[in-house]
Amino acid sequence: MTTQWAPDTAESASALVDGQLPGEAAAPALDWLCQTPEGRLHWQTCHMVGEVLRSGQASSPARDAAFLHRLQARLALEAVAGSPPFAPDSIADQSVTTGVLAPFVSVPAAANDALFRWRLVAGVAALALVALLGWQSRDAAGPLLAVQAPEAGPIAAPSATAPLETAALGDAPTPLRMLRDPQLDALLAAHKQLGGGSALPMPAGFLRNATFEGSGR
Amino acid sequence: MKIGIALMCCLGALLPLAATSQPSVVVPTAQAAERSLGDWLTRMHEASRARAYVGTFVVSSGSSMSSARIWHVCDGEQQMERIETLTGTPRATFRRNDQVVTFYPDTRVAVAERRESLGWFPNRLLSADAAMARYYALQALGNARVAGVETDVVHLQPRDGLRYAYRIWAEKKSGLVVKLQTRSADGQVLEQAAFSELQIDAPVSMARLAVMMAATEGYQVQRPDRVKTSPEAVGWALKTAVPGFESTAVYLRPAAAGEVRRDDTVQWIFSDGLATVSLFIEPFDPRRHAQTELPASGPTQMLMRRVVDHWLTAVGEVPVATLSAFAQALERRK
Repeated sequence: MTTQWAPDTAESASALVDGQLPGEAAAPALDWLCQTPEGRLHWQTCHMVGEVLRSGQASSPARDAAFLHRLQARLALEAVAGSPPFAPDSIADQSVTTGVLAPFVSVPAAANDALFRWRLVAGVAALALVALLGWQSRDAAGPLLAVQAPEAGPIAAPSATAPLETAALGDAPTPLRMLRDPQLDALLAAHKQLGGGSALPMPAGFLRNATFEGSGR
Repeated sequence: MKIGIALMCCLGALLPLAATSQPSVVVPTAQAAERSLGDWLTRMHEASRARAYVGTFVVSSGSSMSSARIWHVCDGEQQMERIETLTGTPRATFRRNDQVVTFYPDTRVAVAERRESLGWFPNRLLSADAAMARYYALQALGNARVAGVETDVVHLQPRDGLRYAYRIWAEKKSGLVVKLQTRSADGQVLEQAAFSELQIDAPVSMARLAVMMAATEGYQVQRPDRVKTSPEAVGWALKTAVPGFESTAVYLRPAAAGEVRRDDTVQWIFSDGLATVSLFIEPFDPRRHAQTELPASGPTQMLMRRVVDHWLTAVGEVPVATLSAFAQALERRK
């Protein structure tokens, strides 16, 4: 893991394609791949090599380049509009007056457009579910999870629901935390420490108590 | 709470240890079936005395989960261990036989103590065996693979409602315990502890561990000021014994200056060989002592009662009924 990856080498890009580039080294490699023409060409070559190895057939990189070009043009337009690509309000607003969705009009509708719309609906529903779960666990855990409650109803912006979700996952409410009585915590700790009178094979009991952090100290 | 359980299930599913909660192959080997409870326990104790290992240990109890990195080594006479927690407050616990030093790097405090109850006395084991066989039924469940090693699985089912069941996974060759479950009478897993990864016979340097254990420079070394005493000396007794549980130790912890407690706290410890119960007795203080029961976290139960002019806090890895039995039997003899 101590290998230093030079950001502008084809080697690091190949490693990235293979999923073998360590986290901190991936950023410069990605920059190189995204921002230089050689990088893009290399990215396509790497994938083409992979595809040939897997399927025995090569696809034309020119088609990819055309697609990439169109995608970039659209992304640039969206960036100008200054709206997050999947913010609920931009999804809900189908009036196409902001210009955000205008480029889609000039392009023939994709065959899976309807499916895409359903995915959006599913995405919004999933967000709502996460918000709801976050809301419930917040109620259950009281002040522990009092992180920005979404005030705008069940459909909240992704940025507001994300911390709620991680809080619920990472800090599951434990009944012991509710004690809030240092004296009881101390008794519990004393029991764990001295209550090792178990005939259970020693490392197991001792390891368990040394590892386990009941209510924190 | 339901969410908590669901989360635990999700987390559990991520862990390789959960995948083996039921032994996959139930083929009791002749050797495994023939061993008595005492044979099993002796073998497991011997394993920790004769083997060196390095591993990651995971404990999941109720809705919380902790893990630690373990280094264990022995030279036939001495055992040394280093346990570095990977979750919660950073701390490193070193053990040389019954000497234990716990370092808290955040607060620069080191707690040095002797843990007498860590008994590795074969004699005590043998006497415990006879008593334990009266309260637990041993059942060999076959083989399973845990943390990359092949294990024998044994189940200890309680013969009454005063204790929990245990399921133990012991490495086939050495008997080293690699996984341990505490289960309720109806088979629900209350707590499980297991190595998620284990390297047996790993090179661990005892000399290096000894140096690390002695490196208390820059730390404020605290020694718990508890005094070992007897039930008679502190004036407490049980009217009727709780079946299977024997008194193993009584400690008196003097109230330190500036502490909320005004008087000494007695800790009376009982064990049935597998489960432990602590009775904490202190003078009743109406300002602090009101709650009588607390929701359990994993197998550990708590129960509080007023006993004459004292306050009892009973803690143990036993059903609440057992703690009630202790509370009813406790009486003042002074």
